[in-house]
Amino acid sequence: MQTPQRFRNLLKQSLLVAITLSAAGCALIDRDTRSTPPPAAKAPRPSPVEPVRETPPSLDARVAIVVTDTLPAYTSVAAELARLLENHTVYNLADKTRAEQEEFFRIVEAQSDAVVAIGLRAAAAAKSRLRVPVVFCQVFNVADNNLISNRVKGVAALPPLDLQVRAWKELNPDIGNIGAIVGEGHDLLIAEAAEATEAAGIELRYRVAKSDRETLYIFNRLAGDIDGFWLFPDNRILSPPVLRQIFKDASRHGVQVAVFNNSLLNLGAAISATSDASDIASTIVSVLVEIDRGELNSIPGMTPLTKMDVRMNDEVLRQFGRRPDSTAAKVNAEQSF
Amino acid sequence: MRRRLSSALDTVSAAVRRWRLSRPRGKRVLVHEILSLQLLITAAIGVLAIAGLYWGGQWVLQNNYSRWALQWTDELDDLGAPLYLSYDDEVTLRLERYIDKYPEIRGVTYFDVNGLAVFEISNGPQKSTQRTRTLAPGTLRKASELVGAEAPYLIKSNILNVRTFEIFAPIWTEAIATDGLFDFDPSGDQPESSTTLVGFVGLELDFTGFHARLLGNIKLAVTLLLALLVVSGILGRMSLRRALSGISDLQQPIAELAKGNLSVRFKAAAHREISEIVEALQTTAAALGERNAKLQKLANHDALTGLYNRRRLVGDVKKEIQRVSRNKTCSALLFIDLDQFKYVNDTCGHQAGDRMIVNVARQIEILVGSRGIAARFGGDEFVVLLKNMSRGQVKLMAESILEDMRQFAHVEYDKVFHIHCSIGITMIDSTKYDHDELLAQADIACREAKECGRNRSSFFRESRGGANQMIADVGWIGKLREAIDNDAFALRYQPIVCIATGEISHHEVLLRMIAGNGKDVVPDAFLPAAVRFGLMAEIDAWLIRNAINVLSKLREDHADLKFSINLSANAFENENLAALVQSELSKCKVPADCLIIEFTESLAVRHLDHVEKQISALRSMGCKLALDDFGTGYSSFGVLKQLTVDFIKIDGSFIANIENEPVDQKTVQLIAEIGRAAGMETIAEYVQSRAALSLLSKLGIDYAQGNYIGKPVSTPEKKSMPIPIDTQRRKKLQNLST
Repeated sequence: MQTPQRFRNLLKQSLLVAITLSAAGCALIDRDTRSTPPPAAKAPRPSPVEPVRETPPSLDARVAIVVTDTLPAYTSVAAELARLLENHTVYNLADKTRAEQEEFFRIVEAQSDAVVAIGLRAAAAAKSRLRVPVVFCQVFNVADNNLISNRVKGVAALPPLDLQVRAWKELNPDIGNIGAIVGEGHDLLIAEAAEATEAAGIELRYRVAKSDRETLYIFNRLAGDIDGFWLFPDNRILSPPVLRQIFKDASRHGVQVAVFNNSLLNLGAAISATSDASDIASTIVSVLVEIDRGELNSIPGMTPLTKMDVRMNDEVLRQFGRRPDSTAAKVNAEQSF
Repeated sequence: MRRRLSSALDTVSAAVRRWRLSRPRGKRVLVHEILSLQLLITAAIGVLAIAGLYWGGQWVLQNNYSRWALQWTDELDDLGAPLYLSYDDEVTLRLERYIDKYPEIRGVTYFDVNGLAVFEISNGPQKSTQRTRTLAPGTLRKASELVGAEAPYLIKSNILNVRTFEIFAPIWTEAIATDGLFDFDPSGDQPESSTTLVGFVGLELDFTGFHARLLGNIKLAVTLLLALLVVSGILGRMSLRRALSGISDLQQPIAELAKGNLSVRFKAAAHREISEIVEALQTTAAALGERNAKLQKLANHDALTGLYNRRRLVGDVKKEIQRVSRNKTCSALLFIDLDQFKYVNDTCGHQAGDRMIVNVARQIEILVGSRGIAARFGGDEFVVLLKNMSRGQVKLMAESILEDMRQFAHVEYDKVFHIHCSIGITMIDSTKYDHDELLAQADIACREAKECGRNRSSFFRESRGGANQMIADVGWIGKLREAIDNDAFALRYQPIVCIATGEISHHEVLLRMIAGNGKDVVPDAFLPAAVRFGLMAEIDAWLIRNAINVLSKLREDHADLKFSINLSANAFENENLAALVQSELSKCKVPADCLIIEFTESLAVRHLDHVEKQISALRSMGCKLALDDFGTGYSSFGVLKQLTVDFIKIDGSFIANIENEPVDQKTVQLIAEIGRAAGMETIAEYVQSRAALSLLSKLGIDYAQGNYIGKPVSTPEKKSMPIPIDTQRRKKLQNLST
């Protein structure tokens, strides 16, 4: 089996690169690197809660990487995957010169062993159009689209929630109540969040909303009773005006907001926790290796990530007596655990 | 109501009519105009301010109503969101609490997507109800189309009542199309969103009460503004009046000044500009006063002696007649004529005569003192008006004057002249005689005193002769006045021919009075009376006016026709002679060089300075001047050196018997030579025969006038005279030699 051997070699090389990057002090939170001291200007690192992921084995299988769009969140993962996978082909559904159907026809013709779908559209299309194993990532509303099956597995879209809670608690030790609003179908997410907050001694008050108006309405009802608001990237219940209004109202009520996107720090969010493309890529490779081993059924529906990138709002840091990173004179300085 | 309005309008129009009738006609009044302008501006500001306030207020209110309505709609849209989503028990309470704050919201209704009411709440006692309304299909459709619009509101108003309206807004949800939002950037391009209509919110709004309250406030503000405007208008008017009072104060004194009251007092002005005007007016008034006084003096006083003149005397006599009659007192009029004056004049010249007249006048003035007034009546005639004196006192006074004159000695060129005088007296004790008659009586009495041997006084006696004389004198006065008033003078024209050519050079205009029988009365008959009774000025003016008028008419047929007119000494005493002549010439469009003005040598000699000015003015206009009766005076040739004239008219006494008088021939020849040397042409008067004309030609005279040449006629003739033989021969000889 020449392909699995090549895949294993590739994984070894990837792991080596990851270790090198970690040693160089990149801004990643890794459950495996609890002993690495934080840089002077960065926040202290919370202690790890997850077991160390094994180094992904090498993979010789032909992998098709299908990208929904040219968004950086997608392309960065595709790039990392391309680096880790020796035998791969990238298909971009954003390419308007070809129809989606044509792209998938090419994938079938290429006789790929597995497909990595980045983004919801790619995941949904791969599930419906292909018969090979599919690993998807960067999809938040998984349940809503009924993506997970025996053949289709996913990688978490958000960094580990416990890490996020610990980082937030580190920033604001007095935080006692956190509110969260999500759309329907996120029971697992809520369960994970409840577990993480409970572990941190924080009360979580969550609500399920059906629309952006309801989100705003619920937020305003909650705002008086919470210290922080955990904003999840559920596009179904958010709209740009509502997002802006939430930040306005949060500021009015003195509620800190934790977000999933660094850009939202500009609207006044206190802390931003984002996943790392290399972490996503290595997690995907691990899943692919398991698939390659023929252990598809033993793979959980969603494989969690292990790392996160945290950034904090300078203003918030100042409020809590922290000095913003001297290297970032902008509004948002990078803070890593 | 209509009747009252009509009555008020009638009153106003009547007031306007009265004002129009009462206001002075003519030019506008500056002060009134400025005050009216101020009133107009204030009113305009008032109207604009009120209109601006009213319309601006309305506009702002209407704008605010819409703005408030939209804000309320937004807020109620948010508040009512749970009605469509996860129902909140508190929503009703919140909505009630909300609309309680705004009484203008009459009611709010939430509809579902099909336009059926989901929830209704009104601002009355029964707050919330359930599902009784439906949205009209048209409104439903229009409101549905507003989903996602920039102004998602549908306003339904009543055109008759814009303050009551309904507003409908769609309620929709929005979701970002992209899953994950990992790259969502709020400051970047907005992600695609999908919208879902969930229902509608409708508000019934009624701003009537609010508007009425605000309108009340606006009315109050308008009233206050009006009051402020009225106050500021009154204050402005008062300030303007005060500022313009300087000009107003000038009005009355200027009117007084215009009436001739030169003693008018001007109020001191507070403003520099008006102060300067006042100063200028005061200076003008003072200058006019001085000029007036000077003119008064000139008009009432004799230029040579400084005594009152005839005009003033006549006025005083008139007043005295009235006073005497009123007070039953007695006054007297003394006519004094110097006996030796002509002798002094003839022997020492006119200037010596004038000096003597001045001395005599001073003497008489001293003698009369405050008992009466002394006036110079003519050349050597004085009149004294003695007031409140009895016949005896008057007699004594006359004797006193006579005695004083006897003692008086006038020294001239080492010669001593004793002047005697004769005095005619008439008493003034009633209004029986007028001033002319009294003066005539005194004159007659004076002549009687002279006839009785001079150097004495004589009272007028109403004898037949005296009465006849007086009647004759007074009669002439009446006739002359009548003739002046009724144009009863006539003009006759005597030709003056050029001896060398025989052509008529011009005509002398001669004055005649038409007697009752239609015959001409020559000037010698009426001019002395005219001179004595001060009518010469009027006769001269009549002559100038009519002669130029006739000349103008006749020149239409005879373009080269020229007239010469004789003016008296009085005419030359008038400062406006040149102006009068100029005015008449201009009026009749007659060239000035067609008019020759004659004046006598005696006049020129006695008033040389004055005559010289008048002559100069007339010459500068273009008129020609002729010195009349030349040769009869004492200083004839001296005059020629001082006066520039165009013609010398040799007195008729030298021409009448020239054929037989070698002295006259020599004199005439001498005058002709001197005239030529002085650049003047000579005219010989009184040419009665062919021989005289022939002789005058030989003697070098240029022009001839007389009955032989042509008698005075009523229409100027244009015929030539035969040239004297000697002249013809001289011409032939001249032609042969050339």
